[in-house]
Amino acid sequence: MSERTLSPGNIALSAFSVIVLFVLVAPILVIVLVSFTPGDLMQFPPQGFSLRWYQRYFEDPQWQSATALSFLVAGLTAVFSLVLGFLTSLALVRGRFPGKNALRIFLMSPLIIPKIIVAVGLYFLYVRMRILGTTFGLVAAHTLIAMPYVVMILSAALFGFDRRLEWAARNLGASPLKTLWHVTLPLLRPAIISAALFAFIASFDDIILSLFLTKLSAPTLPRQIWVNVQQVIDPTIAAVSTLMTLISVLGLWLVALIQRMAARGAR
Amino acid sequence: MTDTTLAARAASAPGVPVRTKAGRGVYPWLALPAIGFYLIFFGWPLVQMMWRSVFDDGFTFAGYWEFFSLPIYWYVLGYTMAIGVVTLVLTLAIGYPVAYWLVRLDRTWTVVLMAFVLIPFWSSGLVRTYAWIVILGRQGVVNNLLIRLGIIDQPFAFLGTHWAVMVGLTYYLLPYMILCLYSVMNNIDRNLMKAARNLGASPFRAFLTVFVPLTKPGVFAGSFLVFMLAIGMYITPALLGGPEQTTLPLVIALQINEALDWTLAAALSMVLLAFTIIIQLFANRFVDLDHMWGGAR
Repeated sequence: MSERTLSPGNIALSAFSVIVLFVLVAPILVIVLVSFTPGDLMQFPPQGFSLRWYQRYFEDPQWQSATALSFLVAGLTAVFSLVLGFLTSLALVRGRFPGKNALRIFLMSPLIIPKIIVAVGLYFLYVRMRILGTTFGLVAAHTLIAMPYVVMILSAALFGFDRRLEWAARNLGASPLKTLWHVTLPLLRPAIISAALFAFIASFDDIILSLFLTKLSAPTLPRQIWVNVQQVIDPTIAAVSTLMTLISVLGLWLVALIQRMAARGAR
Repeated sequence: MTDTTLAARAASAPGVPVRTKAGRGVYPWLALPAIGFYLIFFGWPLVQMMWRSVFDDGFTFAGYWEFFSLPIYWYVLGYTMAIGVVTLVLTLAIGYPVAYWLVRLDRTWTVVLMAFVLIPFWSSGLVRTYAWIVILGRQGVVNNLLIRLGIIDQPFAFLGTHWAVMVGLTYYLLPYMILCLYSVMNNIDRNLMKAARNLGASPFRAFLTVFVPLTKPGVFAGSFLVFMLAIGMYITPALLGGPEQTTLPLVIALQINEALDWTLAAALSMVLLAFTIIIQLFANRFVDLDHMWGGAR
C-alpha cells in the first residue's frame, strides 16, 4: 500500500483529505483570531490586534468565579474518579467473580447513554435530596461521566502490568500496602496521570450536566459561556473559548508526551 | 475473541502463578465503592425517572399518552432519528477516505496530521459549536465573504436551518468517526493488499474486495458511536437550529426548564432511553462492544 503514484485518484484523495483536515481546525482558528479583535463586534478577519477582551475576562468577577468553580469541580472530579476507578480496575482486572462482564458494561454505560438523560435523572434526584446547585452534586455527576474513561485507561494499564514485580516486593517482606505504594502506583504513574487528565477535561468541558445541576448565580465556565452566547455577542466569549481550547490542547499534549515517555521507558 | 495482547500471553505463560491466594479474596470487594456510587447516582435516578414517568399523584400514563397522541412529538422523534442517520452517513462518507489517506502516510506525517483530528476531538464541544455561530451568523465569516464578493446583497440566515444543524453535528462528530476507522485500518496487514495486487487485482479491486471488508468493525463501531451521540446531542441543535430543528433532548430540557411538566419530561427521557437501548442491543450483533470498550477477560 506504500506505492505512491501520482494517479488522478491519489491526488484527488490527498486534496480531499487536506481540505477536510483544514476544515476540522479552521473554526477553532477563527475563534482564536476573533478573540484578538480591537473592535466591539465579532469581526473576521479582525482589524488590528488587541488583548482587551482577555483583559475584560480576567477583570470580570463573574468570569473569575465561573473559572474558579470549573477548576475546583474538575480537580475534585479527577481525584474522586481516580480513587474509585483505581479500586474498580483492580477488581475488574485481578478479581475473579461472577457477573464481571455485566459489571464492566454497567460501569461503562454512562458513556453510551445520552448525557441529557443522566442530567434529567440527577436533576430529579438532587431536587429531592436538596443538593441541587451544590458543588458536591456537580462533582458527583462529573465523576460519573469521567469513570468510564478512568476505568478504561487504568484497566488497560493494569492488564499489561508485570505482577512479578509485586511478588518480588512481597517476597522481600513488604506489606501489601507498602507494595502498592512503592511498586504498583509508581509503575502505573503514566496511566494514572493520563486518566486524571481525561477526567479533568471531561468535567471541565461538560455543559449539559452543568446546565441542569448548577445555579444560574454560580455557573461553571461552560455555562457562563452558554448564557453569554444567548445574550450578549461580545468577543469576550472568543477570548474565553481560546483559553479553554488551550487548556484542552495542553492536556492532550501532556497525555501524548507521557505515553511516549512511558513507551520509551518500557523498551 | 482470542486475546492477542502481550499481557495476555505473559499472564498465561507457564510457570507464572496467575493469582495469589490472598488476591482472590480481596480484589472483587474493591469494586464495591464504585458499585455503591453508581447505584446512588446512576441506577437510582434512572429508576426514579422510570417511576416518575408513570406516577404523578397516582398512577398515570398521561406523559406517554401525550407523547404518542400528539403528532408534534412524532415529528420530533422522526427528526431526531433522521438527524442521527444523516450525520452518520455524512461522517462515514467524509471520514472513510480521510482515515484511509492518513493510514497510508509515513509515520511522521501521520503523527503531525493526526493533531488536526485530535485537537478538535479534545476541544470543548460548546466552543466548537459556538465557532459555527461566528462563521454562519448574520455578521459571520461566510456572509461577509459572500457580500464582499458581490454574490449576495443581504446577509443570508444560515442559522436556524437544517443545514446549520447538519454542518454543526457532522463537524462535531467527524473526529470520532475518523479515530474509530483509523484505529481499525491501522491494524490491517498491508501485505494483504500487496498479495491481491500480485494475484492480478487492479488497485481499486484490491481496495474494494480486500481492504473494505476488513474495515467493517471500524465502520460499525464508528457508525454506532456517531449515531448514539447525534441523537442525544443537545447543544448543537439548541445553538445552531431554530424551532423546526427541535430534537428529543431539546424537548426534554424544555419540559424541565420552562413547561415544568416533569411527568412528560420523564416519559420523553424514557422514550429516548428505550431507543438507545434498542439500538445498543441491535448494534451488539454487529459490533463487539465489549471489545470496543477495552474489555479484556
